[in-house]
Amino acid sequence: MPRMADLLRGASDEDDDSPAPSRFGGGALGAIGSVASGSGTSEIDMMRVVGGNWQKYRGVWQKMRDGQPWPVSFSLAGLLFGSLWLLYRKQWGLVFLLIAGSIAIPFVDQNLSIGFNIATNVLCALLGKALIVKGAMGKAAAIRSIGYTPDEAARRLEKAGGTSTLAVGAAIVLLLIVGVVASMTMGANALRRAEAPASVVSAQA
Amino acid sequence: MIVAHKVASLAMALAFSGAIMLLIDRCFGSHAARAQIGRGAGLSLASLVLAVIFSMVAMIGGAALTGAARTWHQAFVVAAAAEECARWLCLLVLMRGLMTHEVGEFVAGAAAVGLGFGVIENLLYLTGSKDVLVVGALRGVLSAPAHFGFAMVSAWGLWRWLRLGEPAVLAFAALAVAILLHGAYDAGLMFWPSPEEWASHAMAAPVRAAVGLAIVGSILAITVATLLALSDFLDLSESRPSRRWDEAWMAFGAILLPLGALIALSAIGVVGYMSWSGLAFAPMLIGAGGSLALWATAIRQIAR
Repeated sequence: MPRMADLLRGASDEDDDSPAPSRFGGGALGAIGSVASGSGTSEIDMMRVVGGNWQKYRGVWQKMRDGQPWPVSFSLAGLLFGSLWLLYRKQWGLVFLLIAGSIAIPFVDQNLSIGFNIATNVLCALLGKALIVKGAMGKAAAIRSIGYTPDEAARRLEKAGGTSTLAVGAAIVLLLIVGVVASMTMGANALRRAEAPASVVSAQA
Repeated sequence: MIVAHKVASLAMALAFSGAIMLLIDRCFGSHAARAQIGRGAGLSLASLVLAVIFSMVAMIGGAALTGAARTWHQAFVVAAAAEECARWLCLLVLMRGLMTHEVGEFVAGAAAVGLGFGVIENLLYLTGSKDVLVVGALRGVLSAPAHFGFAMVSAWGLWRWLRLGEPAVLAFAALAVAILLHGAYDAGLMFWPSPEEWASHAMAAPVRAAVGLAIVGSILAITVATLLALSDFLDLSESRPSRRWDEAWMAFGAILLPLGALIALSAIGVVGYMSWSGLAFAPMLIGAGGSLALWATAIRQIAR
């Protein structure tokens, strides 16, 4: 059993199976939160961190609690949008790795580029949800380990997770700008090559 | 170009940054810190985009400059000020989203902001380079860790200002130090003669020696500033592995002085008075070796 002082400061119930509804601010939310805490992270915490569409992630989370480290679960958004979907889901580290990979792989061999893109989208489709749930569990555990008041903990959990439409919008705008600049540059180069005498063309090449 | 060369250059460009990230994780690692590493890596991409925008504005501002003034402007404004201001803004965003009050969470995130920037920059330089092994080795050992150092210095100022309530001037002074260190390092490299200029003796030997010393000196200054910031962060950290760090700090102090003297003497002797063009990279190689030795000692001591 946790000490009363621990409960009052909203300590994690990782070492104790007894319910502690006060952690979730009482009421129905507190009741739900106190039910599931088998792997150290309660369902209400996960709901707060994962945000929208929690029901689609719940099954993956339950499989993880049952001992499966990487449960496979299909995600159409992951398959279609790949890193853009990860960006929407605030998986910053994964997005960074994919971008680094998308620069490094063509550098090694241009032919591997398409394969890498397909592989990442398939990976997002099959293991994306597991990655998101794992990240959410880590964030929830980190916040719960501090001992915030229930309201403060709830606020921080929601802030740490969720989705980011802004990041996707910014990425799309950035891609559009890069595309426009690249096409303008390529267009200007093509025009110069078409108009320039042969000697200049060979010097440019 | 052989694929094996490309893979080796990639490994050299990335491995040292990975080792530093492991070191930071070992010193400050926690659930929260690991969550911030991912966030910091994402923010490093944002800092890269912001830095490009700031650099373009700075280039327009200095379009009329020519000669040495143009080089100074490129080193201190187009590169250093633009990148450091972009990173500073991203560190502010990182700080706003911290989950706990533990300094380790911020340090891990800030390290990822700096190293992430350096790693992506390294990859971009590699794709546009012909001599990939040299570029991979030098940038892997010098440039990415330098970005980590600048991030640590700026992060130190921000933490002291926003979390410990110290005067704002401290945060801006730390930003200024980061810009100065960054600018000095870049200026040294930009003023360094190309192999053709070296062969034609366009730059006098004493000037070459001075530029070489400036490069080595800036590398040492970056290393010292980084370790001072890290040392203070470890003092502030609740989960400070004090004994290990004390040992590392002592080892660092013990080797810094003789190593610094050795580097200075080598730079003067090799670069200033010999005129073999193959030694054009000597100051950078010596600086890289010194930097690698310092960091390897710290990592080995901490991991012991």
